[in-house]
Amino acid sequence: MASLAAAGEALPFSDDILAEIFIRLPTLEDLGRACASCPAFRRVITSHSFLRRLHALHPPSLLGFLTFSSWFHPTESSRSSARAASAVAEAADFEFSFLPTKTKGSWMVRDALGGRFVLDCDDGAGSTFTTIAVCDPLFRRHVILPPLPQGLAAAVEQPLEVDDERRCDVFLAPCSEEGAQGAPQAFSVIWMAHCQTKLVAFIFSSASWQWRAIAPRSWRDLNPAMRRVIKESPLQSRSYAYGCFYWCLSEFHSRSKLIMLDVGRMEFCPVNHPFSHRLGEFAVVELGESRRGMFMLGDNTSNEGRIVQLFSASNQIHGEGASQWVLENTVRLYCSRSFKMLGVADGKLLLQGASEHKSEEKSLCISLDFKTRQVQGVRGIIHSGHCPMVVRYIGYPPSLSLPTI
Amino acid sequence: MASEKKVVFLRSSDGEAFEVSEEVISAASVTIKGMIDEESPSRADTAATTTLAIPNVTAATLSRVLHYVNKHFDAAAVVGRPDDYIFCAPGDEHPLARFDDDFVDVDNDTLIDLVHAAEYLHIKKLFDLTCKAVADKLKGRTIDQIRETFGIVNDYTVEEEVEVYRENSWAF
Repeated sequence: MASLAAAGEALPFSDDILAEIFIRLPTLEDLGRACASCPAFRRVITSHSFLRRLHALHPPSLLGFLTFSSWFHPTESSRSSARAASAVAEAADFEFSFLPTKTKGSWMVRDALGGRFVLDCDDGAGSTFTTIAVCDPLFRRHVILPPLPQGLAAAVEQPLEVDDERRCDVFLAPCSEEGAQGAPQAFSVIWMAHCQTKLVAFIFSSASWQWRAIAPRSWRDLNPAMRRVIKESPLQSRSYAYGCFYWCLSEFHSRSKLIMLDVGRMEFCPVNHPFSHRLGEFAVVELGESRRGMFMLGDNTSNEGRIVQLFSASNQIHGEGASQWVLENTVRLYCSRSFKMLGVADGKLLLQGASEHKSEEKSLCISLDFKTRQVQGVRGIIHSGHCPMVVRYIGYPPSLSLPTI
Repeated sequence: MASEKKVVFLRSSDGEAFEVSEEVISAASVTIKGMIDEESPSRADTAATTTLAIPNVTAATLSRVLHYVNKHFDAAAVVGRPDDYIFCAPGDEHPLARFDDDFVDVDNDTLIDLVHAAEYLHIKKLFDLTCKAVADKLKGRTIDQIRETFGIVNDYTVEEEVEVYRENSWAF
């Protein structure tokens, strides 16, 4: 093919026109190759304004998991994501060695969202009010959040353990769509204590650089079947859809409630779930067009394997009226082992199967597409023995990434 | 006078004048609409037709652009002629898809000129179409093929190239 410009001549297009051409390339790989072709192309493609446009058009992909031990496990689900995932593994610092060294205590990964991670360190001063850092392991950046003000922290009474090492729950909340466009590096962190009688939470916003209190609710208020004072954390299975977090709230397995935290309204409330008694392992997901879905893992194992049910509801599921969840579909996993939900990525629910043999090097991971209900294997993402506390890394290949803080 | 179709003349950089309906070109080109609006007060009382100089576009390119504009922006042509691709089922997303495909199936120099003309005249649909056509020449290509297409002499230094290749090796 004849070239678009005679050899040695300047490029026929200005940077603005080049950007218009590149934004129309169909795949990220096309952009990676264009970057490598010449410095002018790389300058255009790696400019922050171009990458923001690109990210708006191409959703980020699941590139790996970080387990409790801070070990990054790249995905191998497709050829292109496997290559991007190993590029991330090579470029990022998942040991978070850029964080200030602590003489007492150690940093622990608590959550991740779109390339941004939240870690905390107990400083040897107790496991309730930890030092919290929000980090970008790819760009090796971090910010330390200010401590909770005394006035707010006073509401925390007798917090229960949320895991072996901490008495607080710390996780990232997605910023609202409008907020994110104005300030792509804005983030929110939610801090929660499961106290003996109540649920106490605070939200930190990077925009105001302040902690604010979410109205505390007593357990009994959220689930009348519960005792007034409890000894073990009653919240399980956190998931997120359309501005709200969901948990299963139960003291005994037989009397569970679904509760919700509306981040915008800063309030907790109980929500209907599709079952009269028991709520198994579940994930609330975004099905599109404001429809919430709920995936539920069946407990019963038959010869034909486990079942995942998908229920759907319109956006109106607040309050305690009649159940508005409708069973949409039942998917059989054709596998009898037990599964744990790992979360959601790329419009798919991710499930990890329990190891059946000690000799298994990698655990079986599968993805279930919301729309097609297709079940696919996700090869080699988590090595056996690394099941607790998995955090997803969802993002872009390093050379097309933007700093998140 | 009001019912009569107004026309304007566009003079290309190499001096050739083209006649086009004022209504059609105003709908298509933000730039020309601006020029016409600027001219209007002075010609309100005269019957004389306007000639606008388009100094950045050659006759060859301008005639192609007007061909495109008449296909895409002349409502009368779209409704009135049941003879070809224009005659399509209602709800058809892009009735002129085949015309567009043929329109950008041209040599690289012509395509570059069309991109520049569409940008200068601010004809969004044509700019989208031509940029997409250039992108299509790059998609799925190797680095060497991209360089060949754009006539790029590899001006990365050896060190830079090693770094850039390593950084983007996920893509090839």
